[in-house]
Amino acid sequence: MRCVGIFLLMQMSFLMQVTASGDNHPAGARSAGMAHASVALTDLWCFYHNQAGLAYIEALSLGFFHQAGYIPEMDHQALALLVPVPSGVLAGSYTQYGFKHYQESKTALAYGRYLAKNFSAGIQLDYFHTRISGIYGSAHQLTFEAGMHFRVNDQWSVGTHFFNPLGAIKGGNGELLPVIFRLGALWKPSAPLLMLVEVEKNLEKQAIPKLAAEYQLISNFCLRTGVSLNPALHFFGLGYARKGLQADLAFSFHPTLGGIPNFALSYAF
Amino acid sequence: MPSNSLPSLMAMIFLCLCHQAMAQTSDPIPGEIKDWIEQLSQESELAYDYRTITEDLYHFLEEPVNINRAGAEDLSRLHLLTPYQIHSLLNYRKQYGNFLSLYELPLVYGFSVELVKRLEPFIVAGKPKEEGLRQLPPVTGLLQKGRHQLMLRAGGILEKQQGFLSLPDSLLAQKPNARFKGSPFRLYSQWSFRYSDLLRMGVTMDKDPGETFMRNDNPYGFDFNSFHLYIKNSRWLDKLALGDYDIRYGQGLTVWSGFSLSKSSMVFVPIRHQTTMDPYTSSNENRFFRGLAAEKSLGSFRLNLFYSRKRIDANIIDTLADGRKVFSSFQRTGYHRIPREIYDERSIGEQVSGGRLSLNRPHFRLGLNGLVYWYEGRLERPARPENAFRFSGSSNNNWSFDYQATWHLFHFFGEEAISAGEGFALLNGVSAQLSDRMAMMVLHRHYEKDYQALYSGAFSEGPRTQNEQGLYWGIQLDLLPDLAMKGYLDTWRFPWLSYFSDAPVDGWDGLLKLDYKPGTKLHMHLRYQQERRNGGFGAEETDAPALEQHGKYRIRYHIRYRLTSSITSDNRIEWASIHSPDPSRGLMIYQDIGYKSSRCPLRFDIRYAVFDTDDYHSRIYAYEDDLLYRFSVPAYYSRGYRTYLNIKYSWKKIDFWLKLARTAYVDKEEIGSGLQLIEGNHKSSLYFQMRMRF
Repeated sequence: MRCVGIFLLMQMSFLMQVTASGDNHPAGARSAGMAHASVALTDLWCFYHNQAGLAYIEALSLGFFHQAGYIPEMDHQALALLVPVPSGVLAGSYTQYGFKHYQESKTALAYGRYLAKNFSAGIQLDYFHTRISGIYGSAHQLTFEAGMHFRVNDQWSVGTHFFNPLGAIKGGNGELLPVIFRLGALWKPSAPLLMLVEVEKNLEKQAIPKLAAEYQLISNFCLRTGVSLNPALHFFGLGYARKGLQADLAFSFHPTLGGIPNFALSYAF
Repeated sequence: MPSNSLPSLMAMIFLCLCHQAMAQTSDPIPGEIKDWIEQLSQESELAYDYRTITEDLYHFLEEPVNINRAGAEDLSRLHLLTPYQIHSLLNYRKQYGNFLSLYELPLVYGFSVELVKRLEPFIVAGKPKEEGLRQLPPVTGLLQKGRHQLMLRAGGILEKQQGFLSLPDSLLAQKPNARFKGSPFRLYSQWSFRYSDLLRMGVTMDKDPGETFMRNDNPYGFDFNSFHLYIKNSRWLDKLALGDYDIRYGQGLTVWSGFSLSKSSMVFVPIRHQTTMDPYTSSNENRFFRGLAAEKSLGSFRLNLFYSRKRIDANIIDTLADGRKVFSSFQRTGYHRIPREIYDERSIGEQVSGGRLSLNRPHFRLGLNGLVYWYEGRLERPARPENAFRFSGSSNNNWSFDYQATWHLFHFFGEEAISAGEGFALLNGVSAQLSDRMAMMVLHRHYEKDYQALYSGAFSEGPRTQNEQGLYWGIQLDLLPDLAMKGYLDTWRFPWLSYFSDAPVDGWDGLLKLDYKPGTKLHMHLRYQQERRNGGFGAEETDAPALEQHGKYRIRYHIRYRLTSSITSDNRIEWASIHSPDPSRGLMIYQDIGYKSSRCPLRFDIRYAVFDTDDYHSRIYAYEDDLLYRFSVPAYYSRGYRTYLNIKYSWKKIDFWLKLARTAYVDKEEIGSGLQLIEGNHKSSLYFQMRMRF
C-alpha cells in the first residue's frame, strides 16, 4: 500500500510540475465523457473549450463541475455563470485545482456572439494564480484565449480555439504559459447520434488526437464515450437533462493510474 | 407479398440504378479477410494454415448462404457480419417476411450498400424451404449427390539449405542434429467429401520440408495425418464429429481451438460468435482435438460434449521413477526434421474433455462451460520469475459462464471463468449500432496472472489469456456512401513479468483506416497504425531494461484498380518506423497485376515488390495470392526485391495451380540461420497444386 502511495505521489509531483506552469484544465462532465473533444460543441461548459459557443446560449445559466483526482490532493472544481446580454453572451468562471499546500486557480471573464449567420466568435480574459505553502509563496499570470465556431450545415460544425496565442505574457515568477491550439469538428449523422473529432496541440507536448460519440438513448438520457492519445485514455459518460437541469457523470481511464470520475450539474433559468 | 413490398421495391429500383452487380474479380477473398490473415501472421512466427477461415467462404462461392433460411450460426460463418447485424437481419426477416432479393438487404438496419456488395458473392435470397437439403438422404443418394475433392500439393525452396547438404557419416554420428532427415520438399494431400453442410468427411496428410516420407520414423507415408467426419442434423444428434475437430466455447476463456482472432481492421472481430464445433481441415499439427464431439438440442437448451485423446509434442527433460515423463514446454511448431525434434514427437499423451450447456433464445444466449485435461507426464517449467504463475503439473480444469444479449441497438457479451479454483478471468463488452452509418464497441478484459487455461484463446494483446488487463474501443463509420472509416484503440497492462520483460509492461496500440470506393473499379485505403509499449519488448534476453519506451508507427496506402474486366492492378506503399533505444525504419512498395481471362479458364497474379528496412524489427508484412488454401504472408526485411507468379488453370474438373516466388537481397551474402541457412543472396520457391472435383 505504501508503494502505491509513493507511486501516486511521484505521479502527482510529475503532474504538478506540468500544472505549475499554468495548464488550462478542461471542465465539464459532458465534455469529459467525450474525451474533451469539445471545441466544436456548444453547451454551457463549451466556453471552457471554445468561447464562440457562448453565442448559442439563450438563458441565464449556472453550472458546477467537480473532478476527483487520482488522489484527493488532485481534485479540481469549477463554477460558471452565463448571462445573455443584448449583443451576445457574457460568462464568468472560477476554476480551482489542488489542495491546502498547493493551489492553482483560474478566474475568467468571457464574451461570445454571432458575427454572421452560422458563424460565431468569442474571447476570454484569464487570471491564473498559483500558491504553494511555506516559503514558496505565490505567482500570478494573465493571458487571453479566443475561439471561432462555424456551422457548415445541419450535420457539420467546425471549431477552433487558441489558448494564450501570443505565448509571451509573463507571470509574476517569469514562467510561460503554454500555447495551445485546438481544431475540431462535430458531425450529426442522425438525430440521436453526435460525433466529435479534434486535435489539440500544446507547444510543450505531443499533439493529442481525440474521437468521441454521444448517443441519446431516450428523450432525456445520453450515453457518451471517447478516446484520446498521448497518453492513451478512454472516456465514458452519462447525461441526464430535464427542463433546464442537466446532470452529467463521466469517467476517464488511464491504463496505469485507473479511472477518475467527473461530475457536472447545471441549470438554465 | 410481405408488408414491406413497397420499400423493398423502391430499394431494388434505386440500387439497380446506382450500382451494377459486382463482377467476380480474380480473387474472391475480401480485402479485410486478407488484412486479418496478414495481422494473424504477424503475431506468430510460425507459418499457419488459415484454411478454416477461408474454407467456408470458398464453399459459399459455390453454395451461397440462403439468407431466407440461414440461422445465426450459418451467418456467422461469413466472418463479415457482427452479432448485431446478424440479429438485425433475422429480426427483419421475422418482421417483414422473406427477402425478395439481395437488393432489399440495405434496408436492414446496420447493413450498408457497401457491405451488401462485399457479401454478394457469398449469399443468395433463395426459397425459404429447399426440399431434401435439411436432412441427410440415405447412403446411396448421399454418395450420388455429394461432392468429392482431391487435392495434391508439392513444392519447396529451390536453393540448398544448410540442413540438406550432405555430411560425412562420421560427422553426422557426432552431430546427429546437423542435418534434416528428410527431403526438402513439402507434400500435402487431401481428400474430402461434402454433402451440402450436412455431411463432411476427409483425410489430410502433410509432410513438412525436412521430414521423412515413407521411411525411418514415418514408414507409412506422411508425418501428419488427420481424419474428420462431421454429420449435421442427423436423426439423433444435431452435430456429430469423429476424428479431428475444433471446439469453441463462449468468448474463448476456457476453450478456443481455432485461431484466436486478434486486432485488425475488422474492428468487431474481438466479439466471438462462431459455431461451437467444426470439423478440422487444416494442416497445423496442434490447435485441434481428436476424438468424439456431439451436440444435441433439447428445446431452447443445447448440450455440447467432447472427448479428445491424442499424443502431443513436448520438450522432454526427465523421466520419473514411475516411468512418467517430465517436460518443460509444449512443442508447437509441428516440425519433426531432426533427431531432437523426432525425440519430442508425440512424446506425451493428452486427454481433454469438456462440455457446454447453453440456453438459446432469440434475444439472448447463456452458457455454462467446463473443461478438464490431463497429461501422461508432468509439466515442469524452468524456475524463472516469469513462470511463477504459469501452469505446471499434470492436470487442470477451467469453468466459465458466458452470455450474449441484444437489446435496442446494443449487443452485450462476456464470459467469466475460473481455473482450478485459483485465478479468474473476466471479459465483458458491448457493441452498438448507433446509426445506420456508425457502429462501435467496447471490450474490457481482466485476466489474472494465475488464470491458467491451456486451451483458451480469448481476445488478448499478449500470447495467452493470462496476466493481462485491457480496454478495447473500436469504431466503424460510413462517413460518405463511398468513404468508410474504421479504427480502434486498445490500452493494456501486463501486471506480472513475461518472457520479454522483467517488469510489468503497459501500453496501447491503435489503428485508423480510411476506405474509399468510388464505383466498382477503384478501391483505395489508407491505414495508420501506432503502438506504444513501456517496458522491454522483442529483446532476446530477459534482462531487458524495464520502463524502456518503444513506439511503432506504420502507414500504408493501397490502391486497387480494375483496368478492364479481366485485368486488376494493385499498388501498395508501406512505411514502418520503430522508436526504441535501437531505432529503425522500413519501406516496401509493390505492384500486382491480376489477370483473369474471359475466354479460357486461366488466371494469374504477378507481384514485384522492393523493400528497404534497417533490420528485422522494422519488417513489413504483405499478404500474397497463393495456391488455394495455402497462405503466405512473408516478412519483407533488409534490402532487396521479391517477385512471384501465381497461375491457375482449369481443365474439365481439374484445377492446376503453380506458384513461383523469388526474394533477392542486395545486402546479404547468406539468408536465414542454422539449418535453414542459404548461401547466396536469393531464395526461391516453387509450388504446384492440383485439385480434382467429382
